[in-house]
Order: sequence, then structure tokens, then C-alpha cells
Amino acid sequence: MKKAVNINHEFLQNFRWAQKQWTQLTRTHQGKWIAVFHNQVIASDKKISSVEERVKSLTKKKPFEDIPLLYVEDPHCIL
Amino acid sequence: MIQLTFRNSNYIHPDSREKVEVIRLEALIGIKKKESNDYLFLNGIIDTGAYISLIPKRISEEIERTMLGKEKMKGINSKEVCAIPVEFGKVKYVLLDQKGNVTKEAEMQCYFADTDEVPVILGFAGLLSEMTLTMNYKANRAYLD
Repeated sequence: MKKAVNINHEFLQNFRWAQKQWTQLTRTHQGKWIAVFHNQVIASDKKISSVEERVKSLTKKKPFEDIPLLYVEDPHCIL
Repeated sequence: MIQLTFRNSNYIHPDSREKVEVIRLEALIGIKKKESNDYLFLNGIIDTGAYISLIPKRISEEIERTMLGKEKMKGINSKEVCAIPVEFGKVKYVLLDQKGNVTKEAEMQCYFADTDEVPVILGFAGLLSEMTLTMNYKANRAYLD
């Protein structure tokens, strides 16, 4: 194992929050990508690019590097 | 060792009103960006039923990738009408966890979906095939080594 890749602490905090809220998020954002910042969903859309634009305009931070973008899949999809 | 996470949610089955628990096993993956040494960080569903990984369209536009051709991918429903067009290629990636463990950069074959409306799926080719997967849901413990 090497430890050269650093992941933003804030990214992980928001990521953990989303994991805890997942049941609720599947009810409210099913089939969409969401961006989580400061323990809330700040953008959601079916298109990743729309969520990225919203994140940049609201926070000036980098999606997928500073702020997690997560896909809330349909629970009926068994993959 | 990379720790994996069980993600739980549930839904109510419409006919029976039974609560169905939806459990996914997830990993954090960093996919190498185009013309950069940085990575895009995503959560991916570990899928031992998938022989290859799947990456949504927009992500594939931002990352360093080798394109090898086009194909159609089918899921559990093998009807042609249910197939989705994909491109076949390779990406460079690392796996990470919340404790700061990171794997060495590796390369895997994958499909690039023609839509954003899919999760990142982490399958065997170049990923699960290269590691040992251990999981115990009841003990809330899962890792790749």
C-alpha cells in the first residue's frame, strides 16, 4: 500500500453523512446524482454536468474532488 | 487492506407492504483524470456478478482512458431492447478507504455507459480479479486485500 493519494477530509464527512441518510435520499432523489455539502444536498439532477455546474456556482469547489457526487439508484434495480 | 462499506436503505414493497432491506457493498475509487496526476473520487458498488466495471458517461469524459471499441451491454434482462450502448476501454484507478489506505495505481478494462443514469459498478476485470474480497455483513466488516 502507498499513501500518496489524499482525499479531502470534508469530502469524507459529506460522504459519511450521505451514507447515513441513504434511505431518505432514495425516497427524495431516486434516479438522480446528488451533491452533498455541509451535510445537505445542494444539487440534484439526472445529468452529472448540471450538478457539477450548480456545485461550482454555489461553492467554488471541485466536484468529485472536494465535494462528493453520488448516484441514488432505484432500489428495485438488482444490478 | 482497503475497507469497504455496507450501505443500507429500504423500501416498502407495494403489494405486500413488506419492508425490503436494500444492502449494497461499496468502495471508494479514484479514477485518474485526463492530463493530470489527480483523481476523481467516486463511490462504486462492488458487484461480484459483474465481469467488468461500468462508468457513467460524464465521468468518462473527464478521465484518462484508452478506447478500444463499442459494444452493447445487457443486464439481467437479456432482451435486445434492454441493452444499452457502451464503449469498451481501460482506465487507471486507485481504491481508497476512510482510514487513508490507498492501493497502488492499477489499470482495468471497463465499459463506459452512454448515459449518466447508472451507478459506478465495480466488477472483476482488472479489479476484483486482482484482489481478495472478504465480507461479513453481520459483523459489519468487509475489505479488499
